[in-house]
Amino acid sequence: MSKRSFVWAGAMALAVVPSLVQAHGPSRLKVTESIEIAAPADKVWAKIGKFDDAAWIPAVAKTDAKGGSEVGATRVLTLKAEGAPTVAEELTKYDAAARTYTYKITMVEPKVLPVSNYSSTITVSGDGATSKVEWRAGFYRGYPNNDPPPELNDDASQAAVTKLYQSSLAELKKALESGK
Amino acid sequence: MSRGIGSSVARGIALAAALLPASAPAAEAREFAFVPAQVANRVSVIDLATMTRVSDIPVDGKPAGIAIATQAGRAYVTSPEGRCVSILDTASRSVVGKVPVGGGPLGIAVPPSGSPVYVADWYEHRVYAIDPVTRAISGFVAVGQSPSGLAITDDGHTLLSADRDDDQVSILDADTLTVRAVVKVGTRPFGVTLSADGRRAYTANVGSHDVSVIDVASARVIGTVPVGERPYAVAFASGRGFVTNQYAGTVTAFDEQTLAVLATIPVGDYPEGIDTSGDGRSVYVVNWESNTVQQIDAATLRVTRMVDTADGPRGFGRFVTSIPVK
Repeated sequence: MSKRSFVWAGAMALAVVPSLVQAHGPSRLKVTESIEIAAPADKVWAKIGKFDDAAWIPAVAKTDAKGGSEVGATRVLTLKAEGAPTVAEELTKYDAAARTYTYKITMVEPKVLPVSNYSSTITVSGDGATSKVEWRAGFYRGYPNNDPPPELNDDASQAAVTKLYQSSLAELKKALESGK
Repeated sequence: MSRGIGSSVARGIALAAALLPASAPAAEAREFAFVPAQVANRVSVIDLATMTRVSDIPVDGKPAGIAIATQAGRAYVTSPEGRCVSILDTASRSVVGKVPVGGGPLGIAVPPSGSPVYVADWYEHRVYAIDPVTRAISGFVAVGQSPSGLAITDDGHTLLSADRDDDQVSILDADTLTVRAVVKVGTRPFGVTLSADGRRAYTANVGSHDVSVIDVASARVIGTVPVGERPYAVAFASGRGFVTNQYAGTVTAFDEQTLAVLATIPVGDYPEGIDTSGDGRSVYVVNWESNTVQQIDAATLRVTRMVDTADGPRGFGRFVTSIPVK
């Protein structure tokens, strides 16, 4: 486990309480990160393709899941951070043949990951000995109203998700290429 | 305003076309889509005849919503982050003006006459009227929480606002900017679209995954259509309604009269804006995640063609227009 990735989003200000359920900022944001891994796609998929096992994400301490990898399955991730914060997620699409699935966050505190209406897709592709993992997200910033504080604006939300994806993918590459 | 001139020109063209022998080419106009791409800060212009992207017009402030005054040749684009409406000349594909509006302009509508332009403010809970000639705000009306979609009748007298966070639609007198009635609909209505005759309105309800059908005159909900997850907007073609479902990545087609669901059509990822071709035979779907516009044949209910756009297209509003060919 790398120490730098023990919190998902880094230090965030805590003074945010969304006043309206589902309210969100005006611009939906995108993050796409990918990494080449010197391992066959099937091997990579075997490690990250089970929705009910998020152990491959370095920040996750525990996965409590229901429904396996069927659409509609849910999981609660407990993170390796002070206070053991949780993130609740639901699987919305799953295609083992194409090695891809999509899930959404159904509950997260902005201080853990400053996003709302977050949806994410992971895809493994590649032939032969190397493969590519692409991790894409669409979301609104965690602060629902106008004039967000700097630590909760669009840039901060985007940076937090980018950091989470980059560090997780780097760890995944390291683990698979070292044969773990 | 040049609307009198515009409509007499249109009548003249129609008359000339009627007098020509059938083999002669009619006075030509070509259809285009103007699609605000929020991530890229562009408006992608698509030639719908060839389904090719012919321009990306730089529009800053995270553009999202669009309304087009076809006869005037003007497109109005909201930028909620930039807190302004940009005025585009559709023939030259360029920005010709900018109007600062409120705290978060998003939904936008303009009647066929070309004036005024109505803009919903997501944060200030108002609908503004803009005079496109003076390029100034001429009035506003307070509506429910987080108004998103707007729709205006062709006669320009009735304006509807989907007040997302109050689960309601405000029916407004557009001339006096007053609230005529408020209708409770499904949960979190986002897009609102009128039938061609202006008698019914349809809201896409993000929270309850359905479409509410409103009788505008009596201000009552007269039907509900179950659709896919997180519906965004509705368009009509060939007597059928088409609903984009953001999370499902599908378009639900339903019969406009019976409200029966006819098909669930797989489209690109995170479909948002949807609008109808001038001949009523197709709808065009904007896919935010995939960066594409897809054409659906309203008769066969199949995707027929696709084109790429700039990053993060939303196309919230009526984005199809026709432009005379010189």
